[in-house]
Amino acid sequence: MIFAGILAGGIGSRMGSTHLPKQFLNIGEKPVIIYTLEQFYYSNDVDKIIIGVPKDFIDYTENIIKCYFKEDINKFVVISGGLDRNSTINNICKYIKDSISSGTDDVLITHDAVRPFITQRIIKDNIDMINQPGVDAVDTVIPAYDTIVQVKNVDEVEDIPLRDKLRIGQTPQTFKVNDFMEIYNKLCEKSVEGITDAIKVFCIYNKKCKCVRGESFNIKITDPTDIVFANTILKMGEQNDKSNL
Amino acid sequence: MINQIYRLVKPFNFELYFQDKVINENEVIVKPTYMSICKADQRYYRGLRNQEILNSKLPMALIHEAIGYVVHDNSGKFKKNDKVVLLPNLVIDESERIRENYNPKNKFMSSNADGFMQSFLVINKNNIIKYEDSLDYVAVMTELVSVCINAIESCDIDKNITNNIMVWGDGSVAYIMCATLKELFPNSIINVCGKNIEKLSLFSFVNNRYEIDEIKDIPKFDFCFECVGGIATEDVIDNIIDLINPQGSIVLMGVAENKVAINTRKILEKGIQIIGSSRSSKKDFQTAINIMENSNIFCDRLKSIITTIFDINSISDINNAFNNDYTQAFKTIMKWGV
Repeated sequence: MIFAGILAGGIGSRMGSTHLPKQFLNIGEKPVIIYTLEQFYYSNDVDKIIIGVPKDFIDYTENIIKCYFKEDINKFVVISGGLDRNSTINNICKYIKDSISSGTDDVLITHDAVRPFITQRIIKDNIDMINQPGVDAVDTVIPAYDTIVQVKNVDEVEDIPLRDKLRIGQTPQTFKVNDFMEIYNKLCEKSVEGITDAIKVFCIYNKKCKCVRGESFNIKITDPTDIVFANTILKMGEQNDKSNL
Repeated sequence: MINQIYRLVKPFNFELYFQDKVINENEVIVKPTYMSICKADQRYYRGLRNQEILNSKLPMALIHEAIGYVVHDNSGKFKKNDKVVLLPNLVIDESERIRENYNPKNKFMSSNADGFMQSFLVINKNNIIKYEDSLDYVAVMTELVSVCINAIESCDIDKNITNNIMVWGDGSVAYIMCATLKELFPNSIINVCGKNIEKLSLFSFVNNRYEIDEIKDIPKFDFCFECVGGIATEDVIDNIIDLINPQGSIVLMGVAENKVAINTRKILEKGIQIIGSSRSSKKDFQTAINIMENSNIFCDRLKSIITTIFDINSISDINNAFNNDYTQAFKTIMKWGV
């Protein structure tokens, strides 16, 4: 089975003074998270969508899903996220194992709730790549068009790595459910902290991690400027629609 | 839902737009799978229309020949994964007197509304027709077949007698017209006349093939479908008027960008009927699907003129497909992966 794990556990600390975490703020006519969920909902390859949210927002999320997807909500499950990104993913994996499927080849496509411009092509590329023999994990990346600066002590340049060896990481990040749980449990036993990226978890154990092409517009809605950008490009699309029936 | 739309903004330049699409009660969401490039699309892509027209139409998504599968249905008429043909006519005014493809109040996708180059189509239930699973990518040719059926039905060809029918042209429209006529009128004599001997060699199933240089050898005929268009239109129509039998019917299907002079004296002398035919109606699409579902040989003939299938995953892939298509004699298909 193929699952989408939507990571909506953030509390929106970079979004300034708002009453809602950023994934629940509107762009266009709907909350950001709904646009993200729609892309997985309309993908025929995805069997179930599990959303990890802050515990206090489980009811809120279930209600907005009912509002926008009406009766057709069986594809969604809302669960409590963890303390950080990887523990949220682990919670999703545990839910799959405990409640849905014990299959050894179950695939989990994890994706940020605040990346609503994900495309069907990216989802499909993730699925195709994880199903290649020998591939343990898939990361979605774009070229580093800007120079990446490695710093020490916040404001001191330590190094400027060669740009052609660098990519900007996006989501989705895709792997087998069993594989993630196995590696994550090993890391927990060693009390390794501060790992914020799921693919990093696989890299630590020298697993084969492949990349697929993301898109520069697959942005993360992180700060107020991103909301303005998102609304602007949606408005441009509408303004140039000649249908106007 | 955030939908991606690939619009031509100026000749040779596609850009990606995003639109928030709301799915209404009678609408269906279709994921396009295959698209076919038409000469009409190329005229926009290459900037071959006059500047005023380009300024008024662009930016606009191209392509009006496409198939896909149902992803979500609000109408209750379709099931998920149903394979469907997409109909480009947007019916705004339902007239009993004027067919939908000729009604100026209606819109046509890729002409005065966005075409099918989108990641999803949110489309009225009446703008798709289901077809059998057994039909593969060849179903993308349905629109062209329906255009031929619309043209055939505009003149009164008796199925029960042996008609002499001429198709003038050697491109994709002429080929599909010949194949469709052969299917619908197995007892009739189907002839084709064209300029390019290599292209004509593909028309293996017709009764007679003539090169334009052999015009004096061409026998008379009662029906002629002109599938040439462009700058040659005037000479072609002239030849057809000379050769057609009295009271014959000429169906004009080719697009000539400029006005053409026609020998009206001869038209009157011979009592010739001249009919303009373009696009097609939903009924024609259904007839086309019925033929394709029931005739493997017809489908095989259609596949013979599919020159290349391009995998489309980016704007540069789209450009490659269009640029390559311009060098090809027949049809280019895009396998839509965006």
